[in-house]
Amino acid sequence: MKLSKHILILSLLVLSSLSMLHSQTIEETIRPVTNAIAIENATIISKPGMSTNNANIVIKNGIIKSVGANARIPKNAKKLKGDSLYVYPGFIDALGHIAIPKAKEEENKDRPKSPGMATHKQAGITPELKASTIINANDKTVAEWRKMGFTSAHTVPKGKMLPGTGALILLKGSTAEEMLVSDASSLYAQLQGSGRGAAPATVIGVIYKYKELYRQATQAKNHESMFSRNSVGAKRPVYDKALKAFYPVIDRKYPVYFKANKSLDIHRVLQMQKELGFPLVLTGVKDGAAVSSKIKSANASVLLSTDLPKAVEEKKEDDKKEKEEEISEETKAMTARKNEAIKNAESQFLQFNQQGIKTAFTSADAKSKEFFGNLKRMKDAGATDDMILAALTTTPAELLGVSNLMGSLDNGKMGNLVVLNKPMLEKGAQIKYVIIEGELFEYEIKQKKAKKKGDGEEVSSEALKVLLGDWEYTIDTPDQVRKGGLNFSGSPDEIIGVISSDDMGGDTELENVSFSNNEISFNFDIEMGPNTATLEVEATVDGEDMTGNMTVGEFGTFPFSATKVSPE
Amino acid sequence: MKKYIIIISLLIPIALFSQQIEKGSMLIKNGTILTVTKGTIDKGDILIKDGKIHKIGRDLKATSDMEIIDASGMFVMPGIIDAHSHLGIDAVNEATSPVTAEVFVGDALNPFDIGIYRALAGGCTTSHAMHGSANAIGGQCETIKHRWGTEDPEVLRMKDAPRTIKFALGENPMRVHGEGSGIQPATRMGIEQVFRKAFSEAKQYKAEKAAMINGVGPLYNERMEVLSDILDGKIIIHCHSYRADEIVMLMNVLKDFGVNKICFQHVNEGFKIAPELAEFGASASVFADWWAYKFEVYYSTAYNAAILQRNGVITSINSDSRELIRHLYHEAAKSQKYGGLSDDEALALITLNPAKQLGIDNRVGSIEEGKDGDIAIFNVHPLSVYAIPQYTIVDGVVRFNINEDPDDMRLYVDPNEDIQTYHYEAGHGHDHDHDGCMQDVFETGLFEEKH
Repeated sequence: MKLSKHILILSLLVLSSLSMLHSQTIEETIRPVTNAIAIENATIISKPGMSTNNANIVIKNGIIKSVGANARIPKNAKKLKGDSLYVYPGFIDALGHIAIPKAKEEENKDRPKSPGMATHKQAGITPELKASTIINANDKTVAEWRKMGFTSAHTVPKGKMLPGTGALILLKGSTAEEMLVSDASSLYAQLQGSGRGAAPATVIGVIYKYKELYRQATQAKNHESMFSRNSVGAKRPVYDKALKAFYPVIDRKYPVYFKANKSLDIHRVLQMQKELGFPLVLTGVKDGAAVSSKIKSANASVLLSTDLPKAVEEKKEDDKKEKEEEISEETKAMTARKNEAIKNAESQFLQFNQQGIKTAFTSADAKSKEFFGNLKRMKDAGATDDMILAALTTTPAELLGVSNLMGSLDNGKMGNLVVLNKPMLEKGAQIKYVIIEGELFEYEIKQKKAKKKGDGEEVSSEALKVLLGDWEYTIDTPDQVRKGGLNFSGSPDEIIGVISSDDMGGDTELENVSFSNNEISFNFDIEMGPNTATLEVEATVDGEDMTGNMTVGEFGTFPFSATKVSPE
Repeated sequence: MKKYIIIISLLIPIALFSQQIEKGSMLIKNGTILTVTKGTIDKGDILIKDGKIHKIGRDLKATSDMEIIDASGMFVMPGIIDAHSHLGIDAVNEATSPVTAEVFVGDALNPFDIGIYRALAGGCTTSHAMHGSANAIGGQCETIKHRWGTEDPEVLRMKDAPRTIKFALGENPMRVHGEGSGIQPATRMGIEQVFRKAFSEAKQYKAEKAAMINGVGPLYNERMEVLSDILDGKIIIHCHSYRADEIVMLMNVLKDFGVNKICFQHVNEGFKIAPELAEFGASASVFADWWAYKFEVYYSTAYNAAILQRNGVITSINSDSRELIRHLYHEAAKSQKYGGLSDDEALALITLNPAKQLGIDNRVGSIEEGKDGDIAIFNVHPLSVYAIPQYTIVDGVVRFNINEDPDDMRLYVDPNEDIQTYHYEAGHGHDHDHDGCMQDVFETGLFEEKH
């Protein structure tokens, strides 16, 4: 959300310090005072299908030293009591934009005179851009996904058709250098045109351009090697950094990670792969089970989005009767088909596994808060714990070519692990520790508040209904009235809120959403230049109206109101 | 060991089969058959075997596994063919340059486009999914068969149909590039130069490739590859055009570069230059009675199709519209009313002639033994204003059945779609661009300019 200029300037001064304070309270980082760390007497799931009770794990100098019931714990090790805790290999994000800052706005202003005259940069063709060169170690996504148990990530630049070359990072460290495991792990591609400003604008433009670049790269590479053998009297090879970025793919050193959300995208990418023959991982898949046999025969792997459609609504009996008459046959039939589509999305992960397709997860376009909840839905649809654990650990390690480094809790591997109070997808499971290369991150296990009647602390599912659904908000700032959408979903345990507006260029997750006695409060972050500001909202819900205030740091408070557009 | 082989051999055909085109066998009995090429057969039967018309006659026998359609009292015609449509593709215009021969709408086929099913409901079995008219040389087009039900874009393609490409004259490329970006073409003169320059560059590219030394030729260029194929006669041009002068201009350009495969699209002033078109061997695909929707289309006549046809120009009537494609039989009937064409001539405007223009008349466009089993069955004569399609058959498979198809024929359902909102908004008279079917309208390119 862009605020008007004078708000921006003032709030920059005031808020930058506030928002920093805010981010530091999210988690407590404990600097290692010893180079050894040990967890005693825990249940250790060292890899999918292998679990040991009452076992110890010792990490020294960032490397797993010993694992098992008899693992000896060095005297100087920092000991963590593992009784009733569950230790898993640290999760690996198979592809995402963790630690990658948002694209700068000036870049969008750089437009060619005519779309056909676009430079590669204007066209979104920057395969040579290494994620490693733009990583921001302090980006909030690092802590956000670490909190979900992720210890390493394959991160790629954001952009259009060919955003760049991916890097493998650890989710710790204060500089890009400290985080990097590999600075060249993939070529990232999307079917996304650059829009009106530059060619290719449409999906047909992107497909032709990708094929042309790949053929040109193959040709240029052959030319180069011929030239290096005999340069006398030969034509000099062209120097093109974009084409050079394809060479490792042509040499099959690493695959192209091609974003393909829907089945049609998958068909299109597979068609290109059939023509050109590059190693392929399909990423961001949301709707692809119907194409699984084609994916399988193309020997491609799949990164499933952890973003699922909203779950099928469970209606209560009395509720049902009341509404029965209003709902037309057509709506009922369409709802049934929609629900079927939701179920398909939930069972997709299982289907890919059953087909024997290597399947992992991508954090791109997904909300970290919904991560475990959505994994649970995939489990409810039939996936096993081992399938899910493999997709978070051994499979991404294999796809990224780092099975020797990470993915399981074996001696000699990196000390990357995640420790929970319960088995991973059990109700009430929470993360207590995340350890990355021996560095400990500790999280508070939240005890469920006991319900006290009249206290107003806990809100019932029934009372929450008034909040859930889509809202349209209005903020009266001094110079302008701003409007946008709000959505609330979830349960009394965890209310999920999302705010969106054209100004923000998309959705922003709300934080600290609390709702009781019809009083709603939440806050969210906005980007203001290089800084992040936190906006706090407090309002009262009355039927379909919400009225209250929004506080923008110490700058001021503005009237905030919203009306309900549709229930959940 | 043997056991494994059996298991494996059982699995393989399934995997291969999944992408194969479904072909049916059936007997259509006792209908009035309008063959288009071989007259009308009263109370005739058509036997389709494995997707092809096997036999036409009387008292044909079906094998026990065959579906039988009783067409008593009904009229059976070849599946309708639309030589100008934009159905089943997710991008229409790559409007970024006056020349975009390199793009191909067949790369973005969309078998979920509900428009395909609706076209079937109008008896239409094949359409020419075209690039738009934003560029003087637009993208390559794809001829698709309306195999509604497949989710695989590859199955939609009419395999072995000749390659085609979209060209455009006049206001659209002038507006998009001249006015839009301040580059050539700003005028009709500029458009001529865009063609000449593009073909000249392609000739140069071809020459450089031929003169390749030590395996090192010019850097691969998709645009030049496609333009070279046009020069080599491997691609049929379908050119958006209205005015007689610019049509003659393009024929002169093509003559200079030795290209002769062309079908003019819209060609509203075609009646003025029908003999010239015939002499060049160009064909024409027109609207029945639609003009004056912008300045350059000011001048036309409902006699256009008849005049062109009677002057020896292979003429078709197209839709260029998701709506018109559902009743091309009415459009054909209009030219019969105005121009006095015979039934066969009028029907050929939407069957055999578009097939010829797309280079697929050896497979479709008439009811003949050996041709594809693509059939439309009507309640009354298709040129009657009361005509309603009853069955539409593609490759011997019923893809539309007016009596038995369920209400909701969508293939793709968005798990995030908001069913409540639609009804709520519709009920309260809000502006909404959805039509009653709640179809999730797929994005189609940047500009929706098509005419």
